[in-house]
Amino acid sequence: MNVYCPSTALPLLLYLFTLMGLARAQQQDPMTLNGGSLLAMAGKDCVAVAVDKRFGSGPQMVNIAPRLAWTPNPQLMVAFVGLEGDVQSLSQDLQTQVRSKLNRALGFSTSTEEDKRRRYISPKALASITSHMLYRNRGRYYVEPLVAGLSSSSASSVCKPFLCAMDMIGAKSTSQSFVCSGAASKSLYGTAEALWKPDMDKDQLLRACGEAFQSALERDCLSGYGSLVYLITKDGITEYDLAHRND
Amino acid sequence: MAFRSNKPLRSFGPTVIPHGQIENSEGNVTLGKIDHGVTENPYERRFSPYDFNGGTCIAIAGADYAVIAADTRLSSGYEILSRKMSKLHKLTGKCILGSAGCKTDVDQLRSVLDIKMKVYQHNHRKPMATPAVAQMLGNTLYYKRFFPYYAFNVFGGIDEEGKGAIYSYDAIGSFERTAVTATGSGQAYVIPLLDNVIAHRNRTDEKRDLPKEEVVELVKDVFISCGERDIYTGDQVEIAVITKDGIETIMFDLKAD
Repeated sequence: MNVYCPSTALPLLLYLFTLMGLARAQQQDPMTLNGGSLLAMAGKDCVAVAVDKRFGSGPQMVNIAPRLAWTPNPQLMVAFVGLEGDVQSLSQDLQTQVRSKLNRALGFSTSTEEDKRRRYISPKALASITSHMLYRNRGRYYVEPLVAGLSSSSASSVCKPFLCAMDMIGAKSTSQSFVCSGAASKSLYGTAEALWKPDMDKDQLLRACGEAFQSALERDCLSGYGSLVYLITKDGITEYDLAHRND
Repeated sequence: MAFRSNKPLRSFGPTVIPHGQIENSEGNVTLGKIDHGVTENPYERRFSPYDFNGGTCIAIAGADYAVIAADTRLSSGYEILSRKMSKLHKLTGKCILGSAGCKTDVDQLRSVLDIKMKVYQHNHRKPMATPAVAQMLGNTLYYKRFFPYYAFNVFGGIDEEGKGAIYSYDAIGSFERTAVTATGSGQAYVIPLLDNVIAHRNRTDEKRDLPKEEVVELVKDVFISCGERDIYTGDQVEIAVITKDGIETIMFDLKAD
């Protein structure tokens, strides 16, 4: 039944006009204030991580710089998106924590290749540390990090992709297909869900990840201004700069 | 041992009492609800004339066809009210209106449009052309600018030249003729995918005209993806393909979770 009757419409109208009349500065959601988006997809023995480059303050663009991504070893990457101040804080904190744990356990030496290889942290461990760090500071870091990498067991040379996204209090969500975070996450869920296929090789994965990311970014005002795709394979990390709309 | 009283200790804030009752700080008790009152805001006092009944509608225009598809789930909050409620409504033999939003407003809008079209038919002795219906829908929505129809529409059909024409609307009648569009709860999931696959944005391969059979298969894929991520989309998809020869309807099952 249509509920149009003047007695309920009038208070509603007055409420609408009051809202329009008062120029209230509304508190913006800290997670989307600076914008930015991330997408990570898994292929056959490879992982692609796409980050955008927009750093803004609400509708205003402030700087074109890629989202922060830390690579503790050549097969692992953790990328951060959210309130940029907290992103910088958390990433520095995380790097310090991981380095100090490794130093305590394995000593300070990184002179030989063997030393360096002993200090490779596994993706699962890194995801754990990040999750604990976020929960310990419960709700004070407005950051949604993403851990992506290849976990290789010493027995075989097979590298299994590892993807893990976290919310701002550290709830981990691992996936065998893809994970995404940031302002455009709804659009990214849509495109990645459709464009991901199991067992893609490097080139197919790069194309799928790049297309899913770009299409989603075009429909989001708070992300864009370019994108980088990091392709992680057992040989290392390659960075690809995608060409698309510069807004 | 004697007890001084057997009244439970009065605590502050929501108290969980056994047997599924929850008492909030206002003193109201929600009895036996399966979600324990989680979807209710205990402090809401104003009556809202709107409810969001969910669902996703998409429309794609081709060279000589138009495809409109919508899921058939009707929901309210976390509950499913019906698995077989159509969101598509045939206005003439050549155009279909797809609407998501508040079902009661959608029904009223359809009624109003049907009446106006009947009047046109009586006055002009011919059915309304698709672009004319599109304009009329925009005007009808704007009539209620200050107490809007909570209806998010996509409208599609064949225009006078035989080409596919689809239009996307907002709730107060702003509309535009586009090549692809989507609306409803799954809009954010689906529009960038349609941009990439149908409108060919951000692709390096050759752009080609898609035949309607291929577009129908793509629409099924799109709804499968949307149904995965959106709780309000699922059950079945109703796909209508409009050509100059008429309207063909295809039903496709989705996950019912």
